[in-house]
Amino acid sequence: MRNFRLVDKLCKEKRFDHIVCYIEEAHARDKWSCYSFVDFDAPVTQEARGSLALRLVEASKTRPELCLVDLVGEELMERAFAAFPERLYVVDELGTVVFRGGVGPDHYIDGFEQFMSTFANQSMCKGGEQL
Amino acid sequence: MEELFSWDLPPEAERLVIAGQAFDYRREDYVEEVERSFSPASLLLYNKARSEGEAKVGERVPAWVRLRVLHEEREDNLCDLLAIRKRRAVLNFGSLS
Repeated sequence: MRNFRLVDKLCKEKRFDHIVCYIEEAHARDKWSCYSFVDFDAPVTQEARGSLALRLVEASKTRPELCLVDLVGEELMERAFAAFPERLYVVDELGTVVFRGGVGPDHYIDGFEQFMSTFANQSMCKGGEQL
Repeated sequence: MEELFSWDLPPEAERLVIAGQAFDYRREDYVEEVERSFSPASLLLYNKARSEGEAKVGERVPAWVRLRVLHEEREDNLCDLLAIRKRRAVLNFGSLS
């Protein structure tokens, strides 16, 4: 969540929709507990996961256009995008992936700012992984 | 190395460790990483973070991705959702922690 505001700011500046995708908590108390402020276990119901997604959006102090939540028990977003624990993708108007960031948290933001600053002049760019 | 992995791993995690996929023991920070992530559950999560997805640059978003839209009591398909919106978008995957 560290760079959510930066992502949101760039989306607003460059006129991209900011879509928050909540898949799974990185350090839920019963999984990979690292932080004392995480006072909840990994959700086992869709409602509980939705509540955490809402909490994430509120805590980030950003205003995404949309928030999507992975389906409990299926985790299709997570599998399709190898998105755990954090990751950025950019898609164009046709739904084509034009940027794929690195695996978070260490490489989550790599290349994203540069991509967003140059995307207006290019139809497709290669992203953080330099595919 | 055997000593490091002496806890009771679930079979799937054990296989990952043996295959060298969960941790790259050639890395200098290998022992530190293992200690920091000292549980079978975290091993599995760590490996997940290093997995490959189907979504690739230059390709359409995978067609089989279903999801729930927050505040809406319905499931949707990501491809359909993006097609209807017809907007450039940043998909921002994150968590509270």
